[in-house]
Amino acid sequence: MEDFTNKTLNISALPKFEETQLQPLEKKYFFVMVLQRSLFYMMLLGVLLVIYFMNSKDSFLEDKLMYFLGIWSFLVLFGILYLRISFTKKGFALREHDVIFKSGVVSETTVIVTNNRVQHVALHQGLLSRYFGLASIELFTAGGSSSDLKINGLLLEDAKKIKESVSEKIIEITEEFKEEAPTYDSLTNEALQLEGDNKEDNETKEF
Amino acid sequence: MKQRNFDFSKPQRQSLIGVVVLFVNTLQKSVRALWPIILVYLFRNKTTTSLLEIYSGIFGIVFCIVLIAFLRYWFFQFYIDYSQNEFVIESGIFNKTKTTIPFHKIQKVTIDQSLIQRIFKVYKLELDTAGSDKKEASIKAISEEMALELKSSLVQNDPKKTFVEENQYQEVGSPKSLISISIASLLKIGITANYLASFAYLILVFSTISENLKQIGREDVIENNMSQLEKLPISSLFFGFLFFIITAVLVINLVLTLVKYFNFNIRKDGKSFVLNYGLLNVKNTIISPEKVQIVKWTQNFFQKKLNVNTIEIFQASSEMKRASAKDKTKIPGCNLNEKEKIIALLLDKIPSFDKVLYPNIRKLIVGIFFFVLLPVVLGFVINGIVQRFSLSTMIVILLLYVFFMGVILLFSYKNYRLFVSDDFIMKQSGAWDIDREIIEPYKIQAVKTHQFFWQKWTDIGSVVLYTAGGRISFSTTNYTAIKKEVNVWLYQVETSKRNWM
Repeated sequence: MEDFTNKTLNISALPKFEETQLQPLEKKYFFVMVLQRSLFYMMLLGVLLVIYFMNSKDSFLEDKLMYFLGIWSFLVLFGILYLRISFTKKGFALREHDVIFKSGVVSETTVIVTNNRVQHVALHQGLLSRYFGLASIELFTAGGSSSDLKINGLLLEDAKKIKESVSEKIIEITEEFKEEAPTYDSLTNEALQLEGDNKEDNETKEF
Repeated sequence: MKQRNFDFSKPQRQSLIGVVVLFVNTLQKSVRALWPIILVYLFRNKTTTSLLEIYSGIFGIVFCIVLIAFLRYWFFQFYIDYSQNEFVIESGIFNKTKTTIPFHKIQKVTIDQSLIQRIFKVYKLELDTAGSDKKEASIKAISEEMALELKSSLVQNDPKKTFVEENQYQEVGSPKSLISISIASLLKIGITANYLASFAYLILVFSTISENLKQIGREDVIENNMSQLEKLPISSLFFGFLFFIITAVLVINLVLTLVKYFNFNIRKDGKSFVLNYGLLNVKNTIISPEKVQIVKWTQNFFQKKLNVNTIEIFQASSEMKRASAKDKTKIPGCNLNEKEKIIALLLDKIPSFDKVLYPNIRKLIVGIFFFVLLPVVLGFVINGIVQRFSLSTMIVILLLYVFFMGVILLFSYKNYRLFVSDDFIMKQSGAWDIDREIIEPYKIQAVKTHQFFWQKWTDIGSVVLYTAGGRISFSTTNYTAIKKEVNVWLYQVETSKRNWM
């Protein structure tokens, strides 16, 4: 641990995250998303129609059914188009030491979580996804919820592969930590959480 | 230490003198809760109340508090349940509370003294548990003998904790102070920092007073004063008001800083550092260097001239938990020497940097567009519709705004820097208070890079670095340079075997 040196570092020789070949999400996932969206759009259409027919006597809305349908189809078209673009913009890569996920239409965002900093892994599978053999994976780090990495629309096997490779790393690290730092460190670490602010809270409870 | 003067298997009370401590404690709490009412009571029309009434009122209140303090003392008992291996505290006058703490959950036993406790030669004993909600037990007033003995019997019952006890044994006896902040430094910080916070506090005080006056039907007090003020010439009113605000803010600042951080000292305790401070409530914070994620120091122009800094330390929350703002510790008023000493203690060495990243000029342009141009146009348009001010007043107001905002934007652009070296990353930002946040690359948890699609042609982008104690973001800078650094940081994180907390 102490003999870790970092002097001779040839920056240009380092692997570049931006040049990593990204894998697109499963085509089937786009279909799943469209299905989910259509459900929402159908409900929207229902609501719009109910509003229209409830107030059809109103002179303001009379004979404006076409406008309603026009707005609705514009929303659908725009929504699906945006979905399509955002789908093609998404991509992930599983590197030896980290996971990369790129997304975003207006702002292109790349999240990189290294395997040795992952706290735990979650594999989700929704009802529709299960039918299509898809799954999503979520990597949690200690950096807070906005730094968690979630990839939807993976093949179940791929998701499992990622989960396994990351979990292995977590176990490896925890074991290493246990060997190197016996009771003293872990104990003092936990022992050192005296927070001044909490004392006041306790005082009031006692009263 | 082996002889036993106290039998902790039987319920024990605190020192009788502890009633005084509890009295002051209760008084403090009552005053804190009721001060607006007391203030209003004192300043209401004198004619309606006789002297006797006032005295009997005061006497009644004091008697009530003494009674409560005594009852609190009487019903507060603690004992060790050896059969269950638990420490038990029973308390409460009407609502009885029984707190049981199993020995194996006790992480740390601290013995401490605040100002009042020091006067009466009693000690406060506190237990830290590993429970996630950090529910600690505290005994407010016991003798030194009892405190030490209780501590040793609590700690000895678990063989694993013996060394912890050895570590903290010196706490009561010989505090080896590494750094202590002088009152002069606190005064310097008091007059140069937190203007906004004190201003907010001032407004809060006024609104509380007026709210309470309204509740007792005396809003005429405010109205009378206001109408008298309105008779004064506008310029003297304005300057008087300005003068009043500035002095009030300064005084509040000074008092708050002094009360909160009085007798600030840092001690070394094993691998970690213990900070002790406070005039009325002594606070006790522990920092272990390996848990420190971000070190931030702040200095403005005045503070630079007076040679004072404020350091903030962001620690990772307990293991496997998420970062929260509560794990932030502030060290006010340290001079250059002390600052370097503290930073060297926390980071092992004084950081030096060999690379600097600058923001793109577009950051300034975008800022001017959103915070100067857009508000000015909106101001003119809205004023054109509602006709509130004349054109000339409008121009004066907007010119002041443009000047003020422009200066802020220009300075925050000029100060915006990211310094990089092999071992450290430092972000510098701010217009008046200049913040410098330092992190160590191997403590990075995740990296995020951003680029808007129109920024592709100009090669501009942003980066966010997440640590377990918060994040650092640097925006609108050379994207190629950022990507290069990200690759280096990733390499450092992936090859590092050092424990990040």
